[in-house]
Amino acid sequence: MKSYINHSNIFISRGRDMKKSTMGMISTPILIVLIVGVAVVAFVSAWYLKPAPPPPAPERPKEIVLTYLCEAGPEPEVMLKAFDKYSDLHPDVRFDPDVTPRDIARMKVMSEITEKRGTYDIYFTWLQDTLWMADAGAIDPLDKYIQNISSYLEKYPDFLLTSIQKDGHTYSLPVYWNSLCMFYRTDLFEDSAEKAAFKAKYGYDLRPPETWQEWIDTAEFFTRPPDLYGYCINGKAWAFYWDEYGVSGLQSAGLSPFADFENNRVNINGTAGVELLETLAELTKYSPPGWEAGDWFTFGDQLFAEGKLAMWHNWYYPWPTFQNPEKSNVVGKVGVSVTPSVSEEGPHMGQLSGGGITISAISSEWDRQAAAEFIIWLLKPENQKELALTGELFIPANLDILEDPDVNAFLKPQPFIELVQTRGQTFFRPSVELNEVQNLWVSESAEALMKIVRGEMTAKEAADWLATHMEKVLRERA
Amino acid sequence: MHKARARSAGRRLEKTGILLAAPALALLVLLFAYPIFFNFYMSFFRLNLYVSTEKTFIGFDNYVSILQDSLFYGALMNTTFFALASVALEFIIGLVLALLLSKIKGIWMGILGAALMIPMFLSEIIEGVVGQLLFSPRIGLINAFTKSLFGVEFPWITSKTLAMWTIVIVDTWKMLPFFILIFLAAIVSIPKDMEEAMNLDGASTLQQVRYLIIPYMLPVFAIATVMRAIDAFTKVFGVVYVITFGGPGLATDVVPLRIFNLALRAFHWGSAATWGVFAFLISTILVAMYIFVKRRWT
Repeated sequence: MKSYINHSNIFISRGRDMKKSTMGMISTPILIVLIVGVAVVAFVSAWYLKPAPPPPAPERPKEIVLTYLCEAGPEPEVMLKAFDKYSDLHPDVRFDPDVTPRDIARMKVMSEITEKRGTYDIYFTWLQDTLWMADAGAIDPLDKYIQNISSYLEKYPDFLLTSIQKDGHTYSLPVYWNSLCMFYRTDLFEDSAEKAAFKAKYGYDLRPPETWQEWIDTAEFFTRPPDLYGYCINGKAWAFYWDEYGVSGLQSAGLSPFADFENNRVNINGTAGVELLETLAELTKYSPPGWEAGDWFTFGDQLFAEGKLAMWHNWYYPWPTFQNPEKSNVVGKVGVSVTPSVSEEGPHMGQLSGGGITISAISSEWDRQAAAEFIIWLLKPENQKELALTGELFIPANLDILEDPDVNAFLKPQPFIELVQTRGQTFFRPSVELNEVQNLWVSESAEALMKIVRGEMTAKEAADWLATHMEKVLRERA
Repeated sequence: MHKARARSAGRRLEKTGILLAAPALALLVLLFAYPIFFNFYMSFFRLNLYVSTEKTFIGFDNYVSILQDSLFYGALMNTTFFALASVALEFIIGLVLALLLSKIKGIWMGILGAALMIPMFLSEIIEGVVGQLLFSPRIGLINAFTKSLFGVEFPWITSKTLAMWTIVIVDTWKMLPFFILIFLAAIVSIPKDMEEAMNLDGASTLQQVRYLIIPYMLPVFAIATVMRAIDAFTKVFGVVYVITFGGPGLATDVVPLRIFNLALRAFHWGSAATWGVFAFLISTILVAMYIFVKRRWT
């Protein structure tokens, strides 16, 4: 009680002092207005009073720092080794890499484009990003800086050029490229007893599958759990879409969610689209336990390297791993074949990936000049060879590099080169749609598969359900 | 007369307090109110950054679209299930552990208490990685353990029904310390004379819990539960992103993951903002519950 009275006295005493001051005369609404006003003034100041960009330096600075943005991953990160070497040779150029997860990197690129920040001087740019980044004014054409660019381009496979060139300008000189293929166990597929047993059961010769029906038959034939499974479906949504359903599956049936982009219509729920979903659902029966949560990096690659899969559909990149005795039980037992298609005629190989260093259009003139000098150095054969021997850039974009005996002995790329040259039928240009709307139906594609596997829908119902969702996404995008 | 003067002085003092807090309040307005209003504003536009940086006013189209979208209700159901299940599990286990910890005296209470707190300070991504190491079908420790002991494995993250429970379990491991901390503080603050009185009356431990501890802690229960429910509903992202990415299929698709996909993978900012408005409205209802409960019990 005593304590309470004391507090009251303090209140009254302070109140009297306050009465004399102006503070006590301010009403509550005025205070609120003041607070909001301060906030608004602070915001407007921050918005409009941005520091002015520094004027361009008349002479090249003594030290140049090239800021590099890349997604975390083997291909972009291997550039860090090249940076170190370049800085040793050119002490006036340093690199400041920002290696960040894919989604964060994408956000940073978008910030650069929308806010013209100029934070980065160089990017590791995937083929599918190159032309939209060029359209958005994020990257400069390399021919602005590299005079004899055609001498580089002539060493590249033709199909790469449509992803890096526009309106007569070249925006990227990729250091590697990549595509999908079917890895298979040659020791199983070439075994005479297996061949005989297969023919007896299915009535035709055993071979790496070229049609969906053959895919199902061979997967069923080689499924001998728990030591061997015929195939492994990627259950994790993004891997399923990019490896089996959206990119390779639909294309190999001549289908595309962008077939009638103008009218926001998709053509994935016709006969071939339904058959594709049926095939993939059937293949889940011949996939190892846990496939529902699997993706390339954490599941399928390891299982194939351990010798637990007869077939594995993926990008080329794990090939060097499969040839490494320290990491693989299937060294010398791996062949490569085409993506199975709705029919033998194909198309059998579709998606193309790859990447290289591009120059920001927003950074300072001297930085861009220094970046171009670095790219020219990077593309020298000896440096390309060194990168190829890391095993992380498969296949080197400069085809001359593959003829080097060391590179050839290390990468053993011949099966892929032959496959592409003889069977690679459709390389389509990666597009902005790949980045944008496909992210909005990746999970739904996996759900369509799950609905069939769980018996909740037929393949036709699942295809219709997915098509309805895709068309909604397209309509709302327009 | 004296009372009136005291009231007037108190009001003036209150205004002074507000004035002194004005810089901090202005910062709050800037950092919280502005983004919320901007989000509302954006929800009336179509802005797809991959296509264009120009936005188009489309009125309530984004709202209509979401309300007609079965995926919205699926994500909402999953998020609600996650919030309810994780809060319930954390509440029950947290209470039991807090009661046990309160019986431990001396330095061991400090050591055990500190050890139990560690998960709460880990980032969501680490939480997800730990979850993967425990529950992954290929490298998961839990299945390795159950297989070696009982010869069985469980589809922790591969089954439609079990996957969300796995997310709940991982989140419970991380956020359990929140309840333990609050409950322990409340138990320790129960007047000792009341405990002694119950002891003298011959009350058993269970009776003490039933007739003393639980009634005494009811306000704490209510406030902690609502606070944690708000957190669980609005922040279930990292653990789902790392462990299941919303799968298998859409089995663990949650509202924050969908907002992330729309805003920062597809860069459809208008749609993402509208999803954000719905998440905000639900959070507001939970905050209103929190304020009601706080006023009712304190």
